[in-house]
Amino acid sequence: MTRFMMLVAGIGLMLAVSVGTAPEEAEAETFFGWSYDVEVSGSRFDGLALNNVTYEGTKIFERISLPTMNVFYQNNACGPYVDRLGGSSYTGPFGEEFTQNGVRWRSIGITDQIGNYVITMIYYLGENGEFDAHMFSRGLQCNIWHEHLPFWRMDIDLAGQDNDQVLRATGGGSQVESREFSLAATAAQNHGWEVRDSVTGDRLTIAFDDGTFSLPGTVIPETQYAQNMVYGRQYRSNETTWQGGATRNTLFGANNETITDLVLWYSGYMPHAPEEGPDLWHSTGIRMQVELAGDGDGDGGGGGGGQATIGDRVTNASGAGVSGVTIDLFAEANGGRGAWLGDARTNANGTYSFNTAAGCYVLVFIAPSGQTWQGGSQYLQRSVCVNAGETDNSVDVVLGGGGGSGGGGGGDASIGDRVTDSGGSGVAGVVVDLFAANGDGSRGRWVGDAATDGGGRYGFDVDAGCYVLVFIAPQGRTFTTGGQYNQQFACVAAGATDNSVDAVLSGGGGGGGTVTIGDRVTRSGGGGVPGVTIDLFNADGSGTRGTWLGDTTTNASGNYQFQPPAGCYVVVFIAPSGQTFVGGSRWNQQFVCVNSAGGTNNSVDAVLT
Amino acid sequence: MDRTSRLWGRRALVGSLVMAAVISLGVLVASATQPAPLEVASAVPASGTGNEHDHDHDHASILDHDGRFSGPGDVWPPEPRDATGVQPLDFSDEEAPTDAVLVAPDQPDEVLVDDAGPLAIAETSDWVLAELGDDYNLISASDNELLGDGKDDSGPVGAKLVFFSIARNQTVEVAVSGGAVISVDVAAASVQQPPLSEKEKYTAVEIARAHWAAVGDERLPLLDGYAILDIEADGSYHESRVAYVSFHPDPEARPELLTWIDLTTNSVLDAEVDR
Repeated sequence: MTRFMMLVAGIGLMLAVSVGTAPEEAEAETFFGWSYDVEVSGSRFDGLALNNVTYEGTKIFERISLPTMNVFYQNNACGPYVDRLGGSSYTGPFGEEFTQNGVRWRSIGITDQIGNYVITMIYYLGENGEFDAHMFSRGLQCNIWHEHLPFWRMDIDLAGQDNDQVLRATGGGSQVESREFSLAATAAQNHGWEVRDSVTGDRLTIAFDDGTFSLPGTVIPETQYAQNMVYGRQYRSNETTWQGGATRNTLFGANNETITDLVLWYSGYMPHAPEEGPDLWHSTGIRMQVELAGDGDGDGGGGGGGQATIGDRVTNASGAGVSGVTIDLFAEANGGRGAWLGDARTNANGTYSFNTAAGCYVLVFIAPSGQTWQGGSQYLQRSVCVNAGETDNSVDVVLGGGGGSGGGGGGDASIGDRVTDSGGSGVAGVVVDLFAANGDGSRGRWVGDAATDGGGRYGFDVDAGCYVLVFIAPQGRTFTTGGQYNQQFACVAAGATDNSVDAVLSGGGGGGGTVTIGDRVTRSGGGGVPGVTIDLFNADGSGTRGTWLGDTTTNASGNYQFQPPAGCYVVVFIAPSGQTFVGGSRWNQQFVCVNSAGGTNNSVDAVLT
Repeated sequence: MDRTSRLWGRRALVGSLVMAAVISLGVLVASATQPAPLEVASAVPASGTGNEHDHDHDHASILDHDGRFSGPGDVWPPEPRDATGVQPLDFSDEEAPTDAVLVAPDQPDEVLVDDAGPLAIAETSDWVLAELGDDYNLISASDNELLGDGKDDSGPVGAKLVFFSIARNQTVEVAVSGGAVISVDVAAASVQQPPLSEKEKYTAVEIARAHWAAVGDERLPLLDGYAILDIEADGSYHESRVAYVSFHPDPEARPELLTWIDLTTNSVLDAEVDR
């Protein structure tokens, strides 16, 4: 909990002054597995800080903050400036919770005005252990080309302050940076930076924003990415905030000291040309992924004696194997990830395998830094069950594509149509991948993706050319053409629209092929609660949450209803801010199957305390 | 000659023009330097719309407006694109004033300071006053901060007050705990300066406005002034407290009048019409 207040100064002026956290009174904020304290210090001027950040009970940061954003102008014609946030003119904190691409997030931020610059810094915490520190800036102090260098300071105490190592990806593996260092972000191959607790195995992978975190196919030019800097420093109590003027590197030099208590500084890079105007906002940030090691005993997913094998291959869109991809293996528990059991990396051919006990597991494929899987995520989760002596070599995944420029979206042509069930009803939430077509009509570079709307419609704005579209059926369903994937080829001329690229899912018909899922959200006393958000996800037979399909809110009586196609779903109730469901959680997740078209399950309810 | 050396060369010449145009104390900080009201964020789901991926990355830090966030011209702060189930967080219960200092938002001319509060303690401390002198500004204050050196919670807890002493030309940081001043740290203006306070911003803008009024610039009534702490071209701090004030037709317009103000002498160091 944080307190902020206005202070009247005793010198004749009223001043707006922020007041920081009361350590002895602090009550941590929580969100899914996250816990943290919010602070806007009135004396450090390091913006919005999160203190004592933990994930699933494991310490991640002692403090993350933004001590300064330094600004430099071409030929020193203006500035430079040392922009310190959280002084007398900031607004906030503010925040919200939202779902994006099926992941629930919480954001917390402040906005400050420094001169004509409007600067917003926000932290995004994902239910899946992702943590994104982000910066937005607009305004034009001088009509001259300039660059903003935001400096984040991360006092990383992964599973405690001891044993944290910085790993930098190299051609053949990783280099441990055991002493203080100052390196360009590009010093790690494929931008592969990671902090690992050498005793517990807990990991914090660190990717830097290229502006397209959740989108595959684009990579920031190396010439600009090299402007980002990473600094590893030993913790020192007198280096917790900025204490000097405008510099391009952190004020605190590397002393070649062995790092026993890690502080990582990261400086981003945001150039701004006057011709872009003052209303264009710029952004950069750091996205981190917490990967906690399990207890290693294999509980929660085992079952039965004997060994089994799980594996297959990781490929790119062209079908070539991708080496060095990390795959984490978790026991399956309650339809989701349980204990972490270990990891593997793909070999030169892109293949991997786990030899493990019979049972059910969750595999998490981690795309190389700067890349994503088809569908746009950096993390891809797959569930699999194997019997003793069995080998499941079907768990394969495909990277999104090669990136680069040219072709694709933003053009003056369009391609689209509709995905329906066999009864003609539109099916929402079906993902459609768009690829540039090679000369022989095969799939080339991944261009983008879309999800069908409530009526089953989708569309791409593209440049004139030929494309391959791949429709991906919701889990457990197939297209009438057979299989989970439906690939089609289409060409469009400049200015033309092709609204004929459709796909039909098996099933449905008769009553539109839909089912009804619903019930009511009530208080423990029995009254209905209006305005509660409920998310609907696809699910596989084991209840694992799949693609996000949509959401709704309860009406004045607390009732809600979904009418999706027949199938299995995960329903997630989200308690209003500050409230919890019976059991103490803000989220209530339920698994439901209605397999017959026209069927109804009106018993999916939730009770708020 | 770069901008800074030229600026200091003209300091004495221009400074005398507007010495008289300084602000009376006891004035509520002006809105000229206040941020524009935040727009209420609203997520607009756009399912069924393709995400495009051929954007120009020659300027990679310009966030792709077809990416994760809403684009230029949309809401500020930027919103996650295609977000659903949006629920604002409620921070209202975390903004209540403490007992440390009283507030009178509707009576800005009245100074209501808790006699036992940290500011009153600091301003009656000989130790502090020796460093502040008789002319200073309170820049910021924080309450209930950990005042120890380490990461643990074993140190004292109290208030930190940051001042800039015009009389001594230095930054003064005061820690108050247990009803007493427990430390006073100072740094010369050339070594360390805190951001401008609202009072200093207001003062700088008013001095600059007086200068342009004296010059007879007809655009002045239509322009808003924005002040930022100025530093030397090499990134170090000036020997004194200097603000750069730019005047814009609106917050999202380019600057038209540029002014450098010495807040130690309340004088104009340099002024230019942007071309």
